[in-house]
Amino acid sequence: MGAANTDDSDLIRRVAQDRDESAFSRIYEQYAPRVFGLACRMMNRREEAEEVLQDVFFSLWEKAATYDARRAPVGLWIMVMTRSRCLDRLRKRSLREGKENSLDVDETGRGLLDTLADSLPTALEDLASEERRREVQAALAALPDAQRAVLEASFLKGESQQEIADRTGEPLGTVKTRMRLGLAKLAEALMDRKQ
Amino acid sequence: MNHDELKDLIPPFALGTLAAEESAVVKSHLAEGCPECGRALREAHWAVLALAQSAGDETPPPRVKRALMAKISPAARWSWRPVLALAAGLLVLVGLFRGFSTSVNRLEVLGTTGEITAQGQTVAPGATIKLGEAIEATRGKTDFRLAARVVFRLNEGARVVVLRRDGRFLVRLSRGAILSVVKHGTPYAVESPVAVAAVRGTAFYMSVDSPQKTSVCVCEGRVQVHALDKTEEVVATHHTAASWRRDGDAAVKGPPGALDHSDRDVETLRGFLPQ
Repeated sequence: MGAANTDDSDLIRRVAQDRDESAFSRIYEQYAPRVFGLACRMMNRREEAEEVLQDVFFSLWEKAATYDARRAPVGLWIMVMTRSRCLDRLRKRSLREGKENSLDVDETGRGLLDTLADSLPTALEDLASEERRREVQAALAALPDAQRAVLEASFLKGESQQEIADRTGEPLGTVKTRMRLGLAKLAEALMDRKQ
Repeated sequence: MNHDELKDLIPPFALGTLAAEESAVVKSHLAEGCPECGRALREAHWAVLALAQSAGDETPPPRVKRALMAKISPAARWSWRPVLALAAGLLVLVGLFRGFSTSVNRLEVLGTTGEITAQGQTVAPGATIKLGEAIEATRGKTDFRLAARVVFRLNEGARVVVLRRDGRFLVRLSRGAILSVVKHGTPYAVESPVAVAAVRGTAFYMSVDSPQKTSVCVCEGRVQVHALDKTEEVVATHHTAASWRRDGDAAVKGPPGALDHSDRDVETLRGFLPQ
């Protein structure tokens, strides 16, 4: 993993300093399916998912110089950026459709990466690995259905707790509890493994 | 807000689904250095990162990479400009001798009150855009002339792709609004997610009110509207408008949404068409 991330960091450096299109192309080949997978699930419209994909990688091209390898591995940086872009588009979409939406979207995901800045770099790097991805999928699948549904509605659709409660007819307190427990169990499973 | 209530806001804060006001309260509390909430936030962010990593892979269509590489390539961005300018110059020269017959498929940017992009790159008035490129009116309104036969105006936020299909011009409107003035005898259509409005010369306005609803205003003349299971010919001497809303596989006709155009706009656009 360490070697992989060193390679990625080197590719980003070549993009930032040399404007190296072949390095950019390699990063795209490696991460585009992951970005497109998340964007498809969040946007639920392939056309918009394609726009997100193009948007994220164009940002990477434009802002490669701001990448800081000490803060996060390239893969996580890209995925955080992807989710933030999707959330922003979902917010704009619901505004266009006349729904109220005043979500505070962290467009670059900087807040998230700042919070984790003092985490072990190796642990973050490990989280981006293929093996760990499969473990995370398993941990998610092991959550009770109700907790997983709340997390997915919030994570993938950007729904607020109140919106989930309104849609499902569950009391707001129940939604809050399920979200808290779901996140805690997921974090616990990950923290256990990284220690 | 007491501490337990603040701590309750940490999960939605980490997931980015908190309203701006509540988010500000949480940020201010965290800035005070509350160790318990700081720990809760870190844990929640770990879980959010894990969720971001857990979505499955999906192979994107190759056109996305092609468009992206074209967008970042210095060759694509700069080398073609003199060539385009030269081509435009040649077209003008040849046009002097051959009328407008050489301008088939030519899409010119006439002017803008803001900014437009083609394939994500800003395009200046006077430039030519290739058919098939994604055009977006990012700010203000922009006027275009297509093959000296159609002039259209994109309102702010509109997104279109202009194509030539089956011997006619087709504008795919995925969002926003477009006002078109079409020279008599020109096969031309605008397609939204819900409806296609086809004409052979007239002035009409189409707006994607939502992915499920499209409004059409026939400013004058005759427009065929095909909306899912319905086809209707709308004939008007002065602005007749309606909307078509998707209901399953069927379209339901109803009152139009906002219609941002006027007689003056139609006349302005008509003035750009050769007599």
